[in-house]
Amino acid sequence: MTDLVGKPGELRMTISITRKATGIVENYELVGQAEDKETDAALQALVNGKKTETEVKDGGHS
Amino acid sequence: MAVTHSTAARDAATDAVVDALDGAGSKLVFRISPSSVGSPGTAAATLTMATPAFGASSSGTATAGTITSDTNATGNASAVAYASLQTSGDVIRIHCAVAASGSDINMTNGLTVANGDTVSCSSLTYTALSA
Repeated sequence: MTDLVGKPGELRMTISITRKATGIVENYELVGQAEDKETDAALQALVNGKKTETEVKDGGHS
Repeated sequence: MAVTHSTAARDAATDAVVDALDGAGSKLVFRISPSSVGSPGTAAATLTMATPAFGASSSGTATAGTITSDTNATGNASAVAYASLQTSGDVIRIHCAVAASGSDINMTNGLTVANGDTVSCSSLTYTALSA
């Protein structure tokens, strides 16, 4: 049986980066799809009103 | 055959995700590779979201409130490769790739954030399901 995958969530954003070194402002339009399987699992769990093991602490920058 | 979701269903799905980011101090984090929900990795810039982070979904899409810029980004020599939306407690709710062509987010140029740069986000929307 074919492993069918549904359309994932979509994230759109406009960001600007002001360079400290030059003062130049760069603008970016971003469109992304949260199709990471772990994110899909988290989304499904949220829709179902449950927590999952994919909810983890970020050990990086805060 | 395509699946069609009602507007009410799309709003419910979107709200289910973004409501998990409505607590104070939720963040938009840009990261270098490698990064995943399970192992987020190194952040290059961290922006603070409004409280609540998003308004109610309309036509399946939720729009973020005002996002506070990171005026002194950590930066990294490696290009930004991922973006995460996470709670103040650093629980990732949305995670997606950011890079040049072939990634989940397509950009014309690679994106590198240097230490001390200011990173701003003037608009952000999330849509959980297609129509």
